[in-house]
Amino acid sequence: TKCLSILQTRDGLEDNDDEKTHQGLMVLLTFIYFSSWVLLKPISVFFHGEGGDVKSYLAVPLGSTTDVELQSFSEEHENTAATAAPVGAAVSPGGRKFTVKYVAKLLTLSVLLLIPMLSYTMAISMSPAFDVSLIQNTSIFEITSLLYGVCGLTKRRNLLRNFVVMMAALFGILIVSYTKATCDLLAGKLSINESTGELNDPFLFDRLKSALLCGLGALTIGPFAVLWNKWFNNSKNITLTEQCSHLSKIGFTCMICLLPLFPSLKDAISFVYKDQAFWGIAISSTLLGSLPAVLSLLQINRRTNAEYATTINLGNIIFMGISDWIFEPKQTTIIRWEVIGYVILSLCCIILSMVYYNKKN
Amino acid sequence: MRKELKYMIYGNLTILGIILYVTFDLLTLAIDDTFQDALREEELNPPQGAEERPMLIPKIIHQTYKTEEIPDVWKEGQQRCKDLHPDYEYILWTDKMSVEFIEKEYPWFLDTFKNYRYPIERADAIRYFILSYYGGVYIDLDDGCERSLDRLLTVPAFARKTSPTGISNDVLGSVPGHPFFDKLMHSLKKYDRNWLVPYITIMASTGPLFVSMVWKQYKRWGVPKDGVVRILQPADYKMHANSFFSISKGSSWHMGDAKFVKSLANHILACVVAGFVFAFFVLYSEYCFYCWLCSRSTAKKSAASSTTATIAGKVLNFFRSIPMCSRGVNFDSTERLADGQLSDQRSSLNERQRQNRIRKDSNLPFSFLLSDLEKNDPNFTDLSN
Repeated sequence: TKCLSILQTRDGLEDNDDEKTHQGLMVLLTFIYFSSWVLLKPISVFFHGEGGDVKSYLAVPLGSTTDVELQSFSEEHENTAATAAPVGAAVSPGGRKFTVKYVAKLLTLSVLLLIPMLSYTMAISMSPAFDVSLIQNTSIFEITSLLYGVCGLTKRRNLLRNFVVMMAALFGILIVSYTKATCDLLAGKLSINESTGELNDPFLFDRLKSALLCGLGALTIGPFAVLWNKWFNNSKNITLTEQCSHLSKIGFTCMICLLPLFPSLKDAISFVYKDQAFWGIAISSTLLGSLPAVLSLLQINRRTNAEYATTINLGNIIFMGISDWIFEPKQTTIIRWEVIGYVILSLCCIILSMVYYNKKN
Repeated sequence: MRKELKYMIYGNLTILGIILYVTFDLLTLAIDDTFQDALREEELNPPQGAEERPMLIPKIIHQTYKTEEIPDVWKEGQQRCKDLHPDYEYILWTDKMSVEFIEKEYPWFLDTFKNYRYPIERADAIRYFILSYYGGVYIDLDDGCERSLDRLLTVPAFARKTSPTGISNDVLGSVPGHPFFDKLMHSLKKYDRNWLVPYITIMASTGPLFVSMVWKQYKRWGVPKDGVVRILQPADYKMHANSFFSISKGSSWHMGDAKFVKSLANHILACVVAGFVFAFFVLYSEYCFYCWLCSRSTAKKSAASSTTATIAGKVLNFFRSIPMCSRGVNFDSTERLADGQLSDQRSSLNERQRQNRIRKDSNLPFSFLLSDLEKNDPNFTDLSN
């Protein structure tokens, strides 16, 4: 996030008033992000322990139910028959047939992923990285926590206790977001007009717009996460390589969706075409930041219950605060309430991690 | 889908629909398109020798105050407006004059006008009526003039852009009977609502927020010919070399709540986060409530079924204790012993099935009767005794 923010707000671009440059960068960065997903499949081969390489396994039909409660005797019988049939037939992880249903699933997931990614890169061109990270992670945490529960991906035990802890975590986030503005004022990043008492911020509306855009855009991650877990993470028989293969295809589909936008934004793209620093930061942030993050998220989702992954978003906010403090030590002012907010958030994050942690069999 | 879930979804969709309907105009303000109708540089500061444009708006300056006794802080600005425009008619509208004007020209609005909760609402409302009736330029008393307004009179109507979005009502100009000001007048009754917080009530019922929302509606359905409202941009309004106005200390009607609402702008991210947290709180509470409803109805059902089973068992045992009935149930009157054993076996089978059912409900593994029969389990198939 920090790197992408730097790319969007470098001096050369700040001087450029043309809004199309920012739009072009937004599309380009989204494209670069998704293009890195093509590498997911080759990387997954290194995870031999997870069955990343080609091996004999029994593929679970797409759309099959794994909900034990809903399985009837006949379904059980059918599944047994289905799993018994292809014994000995080695199926390549990437060898899934491109049926209409499968393509429709990939397309649905691609659209659900493209919206938050575009809104995220758009927001990052208008607001500080911390603000964008905070609102995006808050939004994802809320929608995934809610939809996992509603769609039956989590256990309905100790609901009220978990709810109280979640609300405490969100209260911590609220304190952090409120005090962040005070800290920015103290650090001189914002100032108040003494005659009117109003904030001297010509970009106030932009910040409001970006926060709303990013927060609302990130909501589609909720359906994405639910559908991903139902379609592509519903059996231990699905290997990491196969999941990476799906993600690579989703990334590729998103890239294709973005292609029609390129002709109208060619000026912006030519603006950064020869900029070595731009490509250096963009590629390194994608390869060293986004790609490992996606892989680790995938692994966590595979090994633990779906709800456990929601705590990652809380952790993201904490680490974004720390990175802000590390990268801008001279421009960062910390006040007591901000620390209290982070402490509440961290404690709740730890409690939720302990409560949710449950290894899949 | 469960009935409870259906009702909750319908309820939420209804509430969402109502909220969207009520706040639609407010939401449209998120798209700031004031620059589309902006007063251009060549219109406000034409180069020397450029053709003179005809003045459409009458040369009248309107200002309002409670009485004719204007506070000293605004006297300088007022005087500057008079001095810069000797050929303009100047009218200071006092509260008494305003009521008389409404009573005489717009009696249908008198009740609403008199019943406004805050005096500033009357000061806001009267400006739309006088501009629609007389035309001219309305200027708030805290807005002092810095240069001649002649260039602003060349358009049919104008307002100034406000921050962060929309238009303000402190400086307005129009020809008499302009459709936008007609719409403003006729929208006042509809927007006369109490929003509990005075600042929001004033802003949304007669103030800048009201003007901005009506302006968005006005533009949405197509602007009539020569009915466009041109927008004065911030640099042309104040604090720049060619600005038309200067600002002295104003906002006399602001109370504590106004300061609080304004301070929210300093914490804009926190406001958005608070909105998301509130939405999550409401939705997750509903989810918890739904889970509670489901567990309650399941508990009721299981309690009802166990009660029925107990009563049925008692009734059955009662009838079994009567020999005639027992024979009648077994349809065999000759082999009483074997019959009794078979009955016991069937009874134990029923009991086992009932237990299996309970175990099935608790998601524990269970066995099927058919598979037990297929396996020739002596408990079920051996009737030799």
